[in-house]
Amino acid sequence: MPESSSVRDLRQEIHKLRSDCGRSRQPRHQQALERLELALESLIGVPHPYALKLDQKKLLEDGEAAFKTGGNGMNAVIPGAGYLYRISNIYDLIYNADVARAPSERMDPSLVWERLLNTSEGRWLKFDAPGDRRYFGFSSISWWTDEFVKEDVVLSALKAGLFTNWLGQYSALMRCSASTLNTNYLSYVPTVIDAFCQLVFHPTEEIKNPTAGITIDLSQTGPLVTGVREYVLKPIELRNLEFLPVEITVRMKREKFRKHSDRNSSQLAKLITYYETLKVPVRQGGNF
Amino acid sequence: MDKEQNRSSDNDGDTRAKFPAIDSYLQSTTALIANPSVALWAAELLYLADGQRDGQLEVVGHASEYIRSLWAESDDHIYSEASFRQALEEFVIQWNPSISEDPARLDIILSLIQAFWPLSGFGKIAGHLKTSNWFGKMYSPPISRGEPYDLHLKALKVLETYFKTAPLQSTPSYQTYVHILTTQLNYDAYRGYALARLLDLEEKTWNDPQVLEYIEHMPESLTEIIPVVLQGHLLSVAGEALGAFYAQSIAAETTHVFEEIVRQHGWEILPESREIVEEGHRRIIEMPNPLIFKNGTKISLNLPASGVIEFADDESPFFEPEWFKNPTLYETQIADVVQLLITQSIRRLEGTPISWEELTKDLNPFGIEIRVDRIEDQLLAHFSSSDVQTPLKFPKPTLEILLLAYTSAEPPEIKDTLHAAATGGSS
Repeated sequence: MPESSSVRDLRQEIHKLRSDCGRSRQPRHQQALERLELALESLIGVPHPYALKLDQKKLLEDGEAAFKTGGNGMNAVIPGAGYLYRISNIYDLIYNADVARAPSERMDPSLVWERLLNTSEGRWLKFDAPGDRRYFGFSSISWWTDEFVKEDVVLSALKAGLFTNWLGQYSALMRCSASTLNTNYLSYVPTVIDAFCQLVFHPTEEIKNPTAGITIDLSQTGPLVTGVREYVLKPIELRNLEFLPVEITVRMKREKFRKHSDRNSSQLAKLITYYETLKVPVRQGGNF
Repeated sequence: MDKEQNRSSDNDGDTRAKFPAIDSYLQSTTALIANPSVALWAAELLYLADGQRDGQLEVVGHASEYIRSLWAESDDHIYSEASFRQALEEFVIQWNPSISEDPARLDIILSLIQAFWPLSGFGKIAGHLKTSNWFGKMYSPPISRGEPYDLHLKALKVLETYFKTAPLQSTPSYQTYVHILTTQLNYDAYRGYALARLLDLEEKTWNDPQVLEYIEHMPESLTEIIPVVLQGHLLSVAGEALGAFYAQSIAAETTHVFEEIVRQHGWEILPESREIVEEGHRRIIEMPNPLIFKNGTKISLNLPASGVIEFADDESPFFEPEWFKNPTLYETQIADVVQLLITQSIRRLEGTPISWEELTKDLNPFGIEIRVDRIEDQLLAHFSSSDVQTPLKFPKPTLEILLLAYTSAEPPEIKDTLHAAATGGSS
């Protein structure tokens, strides 16, 4: 085990850097951030929030309303008349969008994915009988971007700030029309509270009145750079969403981005370098 | 950066003592990625089953995805997969399933067996379910919003992985599997799934009374059964089977469930006229939902007459004016409409005292009256405009109602004639 002895948990360091730059770049959320950090230490007793179990997150939720119901940032404006995209997995769609048709089908996610893939034949699908059901994730929000190339899902996901080991084989690309979101004021600029448990997050500078968040592009072989625009959405009606089943195989991940994982210490070190650049005083120009 | 790293290293020392699980995660996965081995995978499986990877499962959604993500990062992913499979086989061999299994641990083990089907997986689960169960054991996976699912049903679903189709020749394992499915028929919560599987394996037929009865009482079981019938190998009997299921749904007034499930599967139901014959009573009716199409494939729902009869109330039978210009030519059509109008009147007035006047009032505008042919012992429709008469045929229950209505209005000899017709005797 040549590397194991040198492996250490760089996530603690990331957490500290993120706290520092979060406070300075988004002072409006400073108090909530401090309350969450205190709860993390005193209630849960872990050094960083990037590997919390569900019950631990619920403890944080109970102590902080802004964490329980996210999307408290500035209203976002989505440019153009296109779509917002989100890469998710079939398990999320089964449990949070109810795509399985029979109780037993729910127990076989790969079967559900295969059925949807066969139904889709490359076309975007609507959710069956959506009624007034809504889609959302933890903290009652979900994370989206307005740039996604479906022909290269792995690259697009990395540009959106997702490590390859977070992507499942049985995945689905979701989309929502920008006009629906702009009309209903459902999209927000992500905050440090929304991203408290996210290892990868670029806190935008409130002082610049950003109209969108920005991802960290993890596809780089060299130093990390800013990626694409990102948004958090409040619970959104399933009737406004479409999805496309996509497969992300082991081979696709290995082809160019085998090491782009949050288990790889060099990737975490690059994140640390990136976060250090965010600690510097607010610069002039730019929106983020 | 150096300063930061030194500080972080100091913190690591504290952390290692305080949070061994976090540290072991990075240590063990890094080692597994660099030098995969059966021993390292065996340890990783124990961590996984122990709940120490739940944070990762919340992100990727499923234990199998977590495993595949480690293969993808591995320096030698082929060797990593091979050593994982061996480690899983050994893990399952050593697993001693029990009714008191921790739900989270059981879910992970079942998920791994379902995704990677180790040879020993079937025997372990089947061995447990043959004599015991996991009834009422529920689990909410980390990615869900807390809505639990039934691990006993999941265990049955995992066994399905080993017998997606029936083997060419029956084996002891297959017989055990069918036995377990048959046992599930005793439990409401699992009967729908078990029947669907037994249909799929052709161990039961669609017209098995147990299948039809269950559909009538538990229409939601169609969510399990209809997909099986719409699969390729049962498509040749799909028309008859779906027709029978639809008839059961009509009886239970749950056709909306049937229609919704069929629609969910991308099939469209379209109307079509159809002629049916019921107890000698012939009619042409417009059925609301007799056909299903998918991608150009067409299945006719071969509904039994008892099923379609319900639709008769929705139609509006009528006489074509030209029929009366030459009633002899159209006497069959006219008789059909007369029979239908009388039958509908009986249905409409069901539960109330019915008078002969009410029963025949729809016929008066057309100059049609009902007469009795005492010689031939039959009822006739008489067209006053042409003096043509055509025989009418009614099922026995309808005749009995006609008799009751007639007794209040007609002389005794007509009453006797009708009574004889109703009871099958001669007058």
